[in-house]
Amino acid sequence: MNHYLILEKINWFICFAIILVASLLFSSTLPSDALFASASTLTSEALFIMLISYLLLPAAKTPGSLLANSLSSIAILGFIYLFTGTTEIPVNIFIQVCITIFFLSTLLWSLNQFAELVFPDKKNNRSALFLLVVIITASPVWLAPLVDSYQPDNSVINFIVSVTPVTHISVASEYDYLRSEWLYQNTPFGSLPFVYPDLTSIIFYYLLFATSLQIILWRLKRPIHTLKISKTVKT
Amino acid sequence: MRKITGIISFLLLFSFSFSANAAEANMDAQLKKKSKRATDNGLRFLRDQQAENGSWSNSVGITALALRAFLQSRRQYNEDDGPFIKRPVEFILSHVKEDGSISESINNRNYNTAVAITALQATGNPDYKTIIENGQKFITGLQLTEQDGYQSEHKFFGGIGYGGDERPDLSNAYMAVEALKETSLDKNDPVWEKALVFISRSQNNSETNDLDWAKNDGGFAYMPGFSPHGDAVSYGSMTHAGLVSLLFAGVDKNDPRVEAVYGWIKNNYTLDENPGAKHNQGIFYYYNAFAKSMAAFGENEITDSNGITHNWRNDLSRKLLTLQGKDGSWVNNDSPRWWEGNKHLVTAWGVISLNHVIK
Repeated sequence: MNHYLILEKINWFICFAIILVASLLFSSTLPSDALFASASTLTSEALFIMLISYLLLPAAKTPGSLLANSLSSIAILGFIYLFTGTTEIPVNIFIQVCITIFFLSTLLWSLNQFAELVFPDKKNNRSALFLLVVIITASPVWLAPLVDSYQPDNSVINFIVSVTPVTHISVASEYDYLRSEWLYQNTPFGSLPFVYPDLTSIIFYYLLFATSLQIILWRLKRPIHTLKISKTVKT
Repeated sequence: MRKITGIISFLLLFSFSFSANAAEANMDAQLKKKSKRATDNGLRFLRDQQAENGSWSNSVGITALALRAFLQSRRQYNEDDGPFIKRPVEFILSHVKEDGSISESINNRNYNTAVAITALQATGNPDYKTIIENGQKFITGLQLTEQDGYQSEHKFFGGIGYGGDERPDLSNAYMAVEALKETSLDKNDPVWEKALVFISRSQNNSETNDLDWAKNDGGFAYMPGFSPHGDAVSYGSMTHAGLVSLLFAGVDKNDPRVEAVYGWIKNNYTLDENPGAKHNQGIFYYYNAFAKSMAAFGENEITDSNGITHNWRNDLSRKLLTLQGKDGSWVNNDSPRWWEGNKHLVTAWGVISLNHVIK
């Protein structure tokens, strides 16, 4: 086997191990007794694992590595719940969260591939995307003063709630996160009329965007000599 | 003999009219007349806005409140009056879940179930008894107790939240307590005593609140140690919600908690704003809770800290009449927080408030 490939795989597993340790440490900081809803714990862990996996894992260059990267979050989440004895989660909710973070990860990695193809000279594509995701995730908090001042329409509120990844994971966890103690104190969203998107729509749109990106990537990556041959045949 | 019969009849008639006038005298007659008309206008607005499936805003909670406004109005509508009553009932029933909750979404399950069972109770239809009982079980199941790992010393013990997480608050506790009272939950059920622990811990009254955060103005915060208007400040809507909760949970009017909260109400008596709240946020919630608490307290008049005596029915009636739109609706134009930008919800509250006023 090619040495380079072996090194790549080792590198991947090292990063995976680091993420696993970091996730275990993060979980240990969350209250694990009955004073903290298990759904909120699951949401926090899933979000953390997904984001840190995106930050630390090697970039997905092939369909296989895209799949591996997307599945890594589920593996770590599953490990935490099987072996750390944290609060029981109904199996169906756990599966919902796994599916959600899988498709969210697939979309993120697809966006990363797209950015690397379109901006090959830029070295900070992944960091920039990560920052963008964090900004969108935290939007119910930093948009709070604007919402209070300008009192936007319900459709705007719904849009903001619908696009943030923490909403998607919370919906999968069946957790009303906007009314959790900290968020209710620090943002008005929990007191405004909003509707969480349904899980089927969330997964559908993730699948749609990820698939569209992969098709665009496939088209963009088609070698130029293939086009020349096509021209020759026509003439 | 005929003379005696005549005198007795006259005396009887006089006593009936006297008692009728005494009931009428709880508020100004003209204002009462206008309030009755205002409820009719509000109900007409709701009727015009009703969806084909009988709902309002496609929400179980708003539909239940609007339905309650109709059922408890002076017209005493009931299911036999037509589809405009029957369909909202069916809409509510179509959202009954296996766990006893009645809600179209995962958020607001406590609120929705509480107002839904109150509305179903108001129909007077015995067919809904099981659904109401299951709703009661769902609500009491949300209460945080030792079974959930909350010991009695914890600030959240006895509290009830939205139903989507474990964070309770006084608003949800008040809605739950009101629903359990209206649906005649057994007075000996332990839910009452445990709810009182949480309610007492939400009051700014260090004499009766065993937590450190409490000041001493007698009013209520949103939850122990927190108000959305800053720190743990007491404000109108929660204070009146707290008073209703105390009274419905069986606390006597002479209890120090009730005396303290009534003292806050006297010191902060106003209907021009939601006292203690920012930018008139939740002002219609305040009017609604005000009407219920003052009706439950049972006094027609209240003397504020300046020595001025107010007839609360007249005051609330006047305020709601000035705020009612030409189409019969009410809405909070100052702040959409807590859904008060929704005309269906706020009009339902407006009518329910006036129903208490003219009762």
